[in-house]
Amino acid sequence: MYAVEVFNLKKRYPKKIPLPLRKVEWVEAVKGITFKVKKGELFGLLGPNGAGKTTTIKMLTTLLEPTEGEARILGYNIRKDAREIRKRINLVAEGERTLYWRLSAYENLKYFARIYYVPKREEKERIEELLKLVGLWERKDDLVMNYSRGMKQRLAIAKALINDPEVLFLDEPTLGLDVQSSIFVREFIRKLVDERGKTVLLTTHYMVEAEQLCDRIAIIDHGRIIALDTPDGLKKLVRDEDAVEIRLKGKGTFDNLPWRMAVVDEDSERGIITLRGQVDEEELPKLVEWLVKKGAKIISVEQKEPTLEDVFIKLTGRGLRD
Amino acid sequence: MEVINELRALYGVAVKSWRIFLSYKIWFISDVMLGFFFVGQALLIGIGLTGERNSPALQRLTGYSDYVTFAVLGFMVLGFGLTFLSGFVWSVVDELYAGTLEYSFAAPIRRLTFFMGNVLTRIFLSLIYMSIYVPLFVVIFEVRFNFLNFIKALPVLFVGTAGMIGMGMAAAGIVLYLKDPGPFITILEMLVFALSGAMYPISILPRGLQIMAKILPYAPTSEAVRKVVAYGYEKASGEISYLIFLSLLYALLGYLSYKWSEKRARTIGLKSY
Repeated sequence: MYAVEVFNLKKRYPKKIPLPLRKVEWVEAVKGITFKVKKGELFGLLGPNGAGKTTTIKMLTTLLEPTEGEARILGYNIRKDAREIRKRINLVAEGERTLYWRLSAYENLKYFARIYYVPKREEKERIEELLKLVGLWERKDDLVMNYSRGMKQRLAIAKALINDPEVLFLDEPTLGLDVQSSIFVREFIRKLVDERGKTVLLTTHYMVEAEQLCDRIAIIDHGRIIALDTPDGLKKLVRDEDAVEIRLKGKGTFDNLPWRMAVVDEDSERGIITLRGQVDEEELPKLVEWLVKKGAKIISVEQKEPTLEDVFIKLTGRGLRD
Repeated sequence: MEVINELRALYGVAVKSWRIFLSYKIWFISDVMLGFFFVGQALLIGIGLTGERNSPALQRLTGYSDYVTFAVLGFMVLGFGLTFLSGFVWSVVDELYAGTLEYSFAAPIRRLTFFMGNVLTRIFLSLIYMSIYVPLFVVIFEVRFNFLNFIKALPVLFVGTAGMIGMGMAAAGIVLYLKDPGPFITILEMLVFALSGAMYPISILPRGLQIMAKILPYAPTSEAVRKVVAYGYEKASGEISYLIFLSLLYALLGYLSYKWSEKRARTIGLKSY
């Protein structure tokens, strides 16, 4: 059985609140996506900012009504059975300010336990277990405003487990976290699937995160799923070709190159730009020559193992950071 | 089981709301002082204008000759009524500003329970304020009214409450659409205060405003409560019948308009949606 089934889901927003006599301009955030997530699977929606990932999560968690299409969570229809779905799922939303900063971690979880109908006999034990699980038990009475970004995110994850949900939606769960906190959160998410049998649907624009964590990944761009497979399956799309990484110094703009290359990193302090993409041996000297003509000072040209970034570049001609 | 869950959720929201309020300790002091000075000044202005405490004109218009008693009773009803309006709109706005609305709305708790949990805290606060104000008014202004009669009028107040909840829900529905709801709420609260008949009889208002006051649930509630306190249920039957009709209408329209607003917000993607 599938935990999440999505059929041709679409969402369009008006740019401004529709009022009488006001011409309404619409933005199509999600343009008809279809996918299924198996029970106990860790499924990723990978795409750049503005690709439609958060809108998709908001529709699946019943916060937004789809414009067209259908979706079922654990067999329940997102349009008709919102409350039944809400009882069985939970969400970690993007951003830092999602919890009550003027309450302690314990008080936050107690509040969410109540509004998620956690039975009284389980409430205390569940809160204690979760705070211990995310390593916040010793700081349970501290106000959340005094927590670090990483601690707040761990508490947000504990909150998302308060009703022991069957399906967990995580929107950019490591965004803005330091390296150590990111590692903790990623390992924790993997354990939730492997040891507790949870189904997880996460969104990310971090290619490494999707590659390391997810059983399957849907690459989403401009509101459409452009590829869906396991990380290895996706990488096969570029395996036969050469993934090249070029580091250079230059003041010009290196977006929209006439090759399938994209800027994947920009070190503004040192002025170093990293380009990545697929270029075969014959084309590589032409590319280098083109870059030099554009005023670039080449630092290094390296052949690399293909990654999901290369898949994205191949499919869209752009990097995930765009 | 469903009812118990909902009641526990209601209590959970109220406790959360109360704890957050307590974290702003200075607000409690400023709220108490503001309320007291506001009403105190209004009472003094009223006495100044009528020239004496017992006004024959007021007696003709309302059946009360003692302006202070008239105003304190109106203020108590208004304070209670505004609790619902403020409770509903601020429970959306506070959470929007804090960034927590999405998590609360993603939970299975019913919306009405969520709002009423916030209202419960405000009612409790309102009672605390009243328990401070009323003895002070009694001591300072020698207010005389029969508390037993006021308790007898409580069922009328509860009838009015249904309308006030409806009004609160409708306002919360509007707030979902506003980029900066603060000014809207301030204007709405001032309008309700002006048209509530709390500090003066609505019959002295211009005709258009009188109609507005009559179609909002606050003034009819104040009038019905005052009449029951002064003359008993029998003589207030007309006011009570109108209040029942108005309250049911507001409760129904408020609920439906909020449902519509929220559905619309979920469709066009406003605020936290």
